[in-house]
Amino acid sequence: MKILVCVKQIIEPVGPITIREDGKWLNQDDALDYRINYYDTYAMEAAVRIKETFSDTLVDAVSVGPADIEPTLRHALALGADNAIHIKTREKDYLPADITGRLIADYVSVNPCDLILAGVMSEDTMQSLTGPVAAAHCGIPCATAATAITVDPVKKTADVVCELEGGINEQIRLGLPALITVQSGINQPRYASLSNRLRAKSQLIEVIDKSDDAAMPGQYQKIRRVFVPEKTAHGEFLEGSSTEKARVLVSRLHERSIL
Amino acid sequence: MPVRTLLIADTLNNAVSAKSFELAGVADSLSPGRPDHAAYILAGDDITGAGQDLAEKTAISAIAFEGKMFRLPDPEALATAICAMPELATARYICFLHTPAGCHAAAKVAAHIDAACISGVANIGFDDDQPVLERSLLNGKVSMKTRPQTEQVVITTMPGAFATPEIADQHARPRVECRTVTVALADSRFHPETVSKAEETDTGLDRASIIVAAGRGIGDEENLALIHSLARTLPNAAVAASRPLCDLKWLSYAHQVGATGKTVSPKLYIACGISGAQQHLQGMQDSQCIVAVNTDPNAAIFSIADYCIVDDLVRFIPEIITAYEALNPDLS
Ligand SMILES: Cc1cc2nc3c(=O)[nH]c(=O)nc-3n(C[C@H](O)[C@H](O)[C@H](O)COP(=O)(O)OP(=O)(O)OC[C@H]3O[C@@H](n4cnc5c(N)ncnc54)[C@H](O)[C@@H]3O)c2cc1C
Ligand SMILES: Nc1ncnc2c1ncn2[C@@H]1O[C@H](COP(=O)(O)O)[C@@H](O)[C@H]1O
Repeated sequence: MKILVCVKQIIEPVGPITIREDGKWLNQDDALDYRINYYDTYAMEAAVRIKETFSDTLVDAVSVGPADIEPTLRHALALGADNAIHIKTREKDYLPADITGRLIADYVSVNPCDLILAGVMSEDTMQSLTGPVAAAHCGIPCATAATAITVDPVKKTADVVCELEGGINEQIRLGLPALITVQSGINQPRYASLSNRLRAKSQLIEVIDKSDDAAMPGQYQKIRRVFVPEKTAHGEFLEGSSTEKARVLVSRLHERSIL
Repeated sequence: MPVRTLLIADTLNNAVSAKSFELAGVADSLSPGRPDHAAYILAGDDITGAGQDLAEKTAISAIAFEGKMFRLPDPEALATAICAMPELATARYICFLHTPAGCHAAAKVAAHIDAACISGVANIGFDDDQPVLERSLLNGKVSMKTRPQTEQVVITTMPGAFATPEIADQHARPRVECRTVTVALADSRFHPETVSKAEETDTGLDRASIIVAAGRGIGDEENLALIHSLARTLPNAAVAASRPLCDLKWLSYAHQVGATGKTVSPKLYIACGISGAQQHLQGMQDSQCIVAVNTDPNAAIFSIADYCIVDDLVRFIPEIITAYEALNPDLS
C-alpha cells in the first residue's frame, strides 16, 4: 500500500494580530507562530498505524507552500513518514483549497497512491475543503471526518466511520484508491521517536517547484480585504483583581436570580 | 427566469435539518426579496413530503431527488445528481451548509463546473454587482472578504450566520417537483452502510441548570478537579467540555458540547479556557447567560459572553467558589 498524507503548516497567533499594509494578509511578525495542523497529526498517526498492520506500506507526506513550511514536513518525517514532498509555491499568503487541492491532485496523477489522508480542517484558514477538492480532481471517492478507518489492502477497500452532526455516525465502505479526511480523536498521536527525529533532521525532501505563476492552476478567488473584526461584545468585561471580579460576577448572577 | 441560486438542504432519514431553513436567508442575501430566484434541492428515498413542507415554510420551490441510494446520506451521489441536473448550467450560486459532508459535495460540484469553491461563508455583500464573500479565519480572530473569480460559485454557509427571512408573499405557491434518480450504483466506490447514534451515557447535561465547561485552556488534566469542584459547589450543575479534551480522553465524548456533540441551553454556561470556535458555539449559544473565563482578551468566546473575565482559570475558579460560598454561608 502507498499512503499519502497531506500536512499543512498553520499559523498560530501568540500575540495580537495585525494586518499588512496592503490589507491582503496578516503581518508576519512575532505575533505569529507556525506549526503542523492539529488534525494532520491524527492523519499521520492513522497512516503510521496502517503501516504497522501492513508492513509493506509506504507513507509519504506532502505539503504545499513556500520555502518556510519545511519544518512541518520534517515534523511529518519525525512522526513516521517515509518520504516528504514539498510542492513549493511562491505564495506566502492565502492559498485557497481551489489551488492546494488541485496541486495535490496534479501530484497524485503522476505519483499514484492507494490512500490519501488529510485533516478534516486546517486551524488557520478553516476551509474543510482541500481534501474533498483533491479527491474530486483525482476522480476518487472521498469520506469526511473519519473517526475510524480499517483498510483491506487485498480487497482494496477501506471501512470508515464518518462523523455527522450531533453524535451521529455513518459507516461507509470505500473502494481504493480513495481520500479520507481525518477527524480529531480517531487515535492518540504518539510522540516522535528519537530515531525518527534524527532521521527527519537530515533526510532529503523532494521539492516540486510551482513557484512560477504559469505552473499554478489559475485563479479562483481574489482577496479584497483581511481585517481584525470589530469586537461585537455585548457583554460586560469585569475589572479588578481575581477576587474582586469573582465577587462582582457572583453578585451580578445573584441579582439576575441565576445563582 | 431560470433558477439563479440552488440551495442544497441537509437531510437525514427523509427529514430536513433545522439549519437547512437558514439557506433561505442565504438566497435572500443573494437576491433580496426574490425567493422565486432560488430552488431547494433535497434528497432521500421518500422525501417529497419533506420538500412540500420546506417549500411552504420558505416560499422557495423545491426539487426532491428520490432514489434508493439516498436512504443514507451520500454526498457523492448527491453531487453526481446535481451535476446531471439541467438547472446547474444556469445557476450562478450553488449553496451547501458548512459541514464536512456539505463541503465534500460542494467540492465535487465545483470541480465539475470548474467554479470557485468558498467555504464557511458568514456574510454576503455586493460590489459592482459582483459578490463579495466574508468568512472567518483563526477561530474568528481574523475575517476576510474574498471575490470569486469564476462566473458560477459554489459556497458553504456557516450555520447561524443567516436568519430565515419572513415570507413576504403569503400567496406564493412554490413548486415542488419530485425527480426519481437512479445514479448508477454499480460503479460507485462509495457505499454508505449504516447510520447510528453514539451510545448515550448520562452526564446530567440535559437536566442541569448550570453547566461548567472546560476547554484546552485548562492545560493539565489535574486542573479538571477545579472544574468538578465548581460544578459540585453550584446548584444543579454538570460538567461539559470542548472537543479537544474529549479527544485527549480527559472526559468522555458524552460531555462534548458543539456541532458534533450535545446542544445545550442551560440557565448559566461557564466556559473556562474555551476559545469560542464556531463548532463549539453551535452547541451552547442559546444558553440564557454565558460567562467566559479566558486569558486572551481577544478570544472569540467573549463576543457571545454576557460576563467576560480575562484571567487564568486556575486562579479564578477557586475565587468564584469562595465568592459563592460567602453569598450562601449555610452551604460551606
Ligand atoms: C467538523 C468539526 C466538528 C467539530 N465539533 C466540535 C464540537 O462539537 N465541540 C467542540 O468543542 N469543538 C468542535 N470542533 C473543534 C473546534 O473547531 C475547536 O478546535 C475546539 O472547539 C477548540 O477547543 P478549545 O476552545 O477548548 O481549545 P482552543 O481553541 O485551543 O482554546 C483554548 C483557549 O484557552 C485559553 N487559555 C489558555 N490558557 C488559559 C488559562 N490558564 N486560563 C484561561 N484560559 C486559558 C486560550 O486563550 C484559548 O482561547 C470541531 C471541529 C471540526 C472540524
Ligand atoms: N498547503 C497545504 N499542503 C498540504 N495539505 C494541505 C494544505 N492545506 C490544507 N491541506 C490539507 O487539507 C486539510 C484541510 O485543510 P483546509 O481545507 O484548509 O481546512 C488539512 O488538514 C491538510 O491535511
